Amino acid sequence: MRAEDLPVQRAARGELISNLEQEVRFADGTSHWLLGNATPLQDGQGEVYGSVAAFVDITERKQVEDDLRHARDELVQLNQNLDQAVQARTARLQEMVDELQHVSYAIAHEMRAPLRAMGGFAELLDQELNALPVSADAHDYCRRIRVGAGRLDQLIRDALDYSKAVLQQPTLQPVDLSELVQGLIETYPNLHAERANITIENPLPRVVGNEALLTQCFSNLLGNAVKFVAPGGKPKVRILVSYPQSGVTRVTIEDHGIGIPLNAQSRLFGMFEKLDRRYEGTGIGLAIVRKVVERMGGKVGAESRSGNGSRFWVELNTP
Amino acid sequence: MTSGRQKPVLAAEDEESDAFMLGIAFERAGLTNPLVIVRDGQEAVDYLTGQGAYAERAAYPMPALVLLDLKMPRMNGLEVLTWMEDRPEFADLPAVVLSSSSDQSDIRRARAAGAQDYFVKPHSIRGLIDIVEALRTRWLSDGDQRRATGG
Repeated sequence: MRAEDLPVQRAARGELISNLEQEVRFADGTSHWLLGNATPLQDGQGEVYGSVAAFVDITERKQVEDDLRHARDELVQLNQNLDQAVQARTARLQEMVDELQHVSYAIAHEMRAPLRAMGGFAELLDQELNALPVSADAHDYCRRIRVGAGRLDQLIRDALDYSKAVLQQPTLQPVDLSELVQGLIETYPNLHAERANITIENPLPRVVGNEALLTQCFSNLLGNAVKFVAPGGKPKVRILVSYPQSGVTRVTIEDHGIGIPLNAQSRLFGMFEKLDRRYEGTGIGLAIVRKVVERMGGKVGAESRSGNGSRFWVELNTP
Repeated sequence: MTSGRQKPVLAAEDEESDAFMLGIAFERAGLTNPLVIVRDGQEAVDYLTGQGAYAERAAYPMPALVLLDLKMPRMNGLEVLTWMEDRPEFADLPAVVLSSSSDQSDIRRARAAGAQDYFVKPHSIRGLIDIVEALRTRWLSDGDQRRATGG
């Protein structure tokens, strides 16, 4: 720096210098940052006759500031790299998930064709046996093949539904539950009025959800409600709506079936949990219910009504 | 025989035992339309356009109904549906899907591609007979009567 640029010189020419940061090379060759203040000295007539200046060596502070800036830049860079790495890894994972999903669908499809063949041909064989003098056992064996094939087919379908509920990101939007549940009751013969008394106690509202997932949820819950009853009894089911807190809709499905043993209530929504061997099922239904409800940002629960059926509830967001 | 007069049902089905059982269901349901099985979507297209082995229309008459599996080699059910949709000459030929998939997205896609009906393959002969009977009511008897009175 030139000598006339020094604050003391500039003040001597009448300039007021405050907090000026300058890099100055000292006589020993080292470089220093100086914080300078300088004031012109004036006589009675306002003529400048000199100046007074004060300097603080801020080299260290400058160094720290520099280091800080570097560290911040490095951090930003690292963050960007990390972001890219995470994105790349997420993309790879997504690709793997998609691939696995594709494979599982393909395998499931391929598995179900031979199962249909086993069930169908066992049925045909059973009918052919009618014309022959065979023992009752022969018919029973055919029946067992059919039941086994049917059960495995159901298991494959349920497992596929479950994996779909886990893997797919659902789009959520307001869905009219009243329409959806009415549609279910019409679609499933088990829910028809001749086979079950289903009463919708109060109007079902719209909830935030996904139509396919809600269909899975309520078809499973209603299917269970009419399934787990004492043999010969006509199922009685009530559907109730309540609003436990603002923004939350609770739909309760109440049945008069066999109920849930107290010790089993915590396991109820787990995979492959079957509580009663006498009833056909894969033990995946309620696991699907919990999973799909969670995917829609809701909650599920159940309580037994002391030997007088059970009550399953689903909480969903109100649009 | 009545089969000489009646238009066939063209079914594209790659699964041999499913095709076999469909034949039995036709028989048990007493459906008199002959069942013609082709092994994939491409063969269905060949049949409909009278190409290759199906060149002779007298031996391979136009069907009254096309029954399609979704998952098939070479050309799948959806591709056949789209292909048919693009051709006005098949506007009056109903196409129905009989698939093992009960997936809502498959059903939606098939409907969007022009499927008039969608059935999920049952795993009992009884269930399959029910479907064949539904096919007859919805697409075969009415249509035949309509055509008969119309012509």
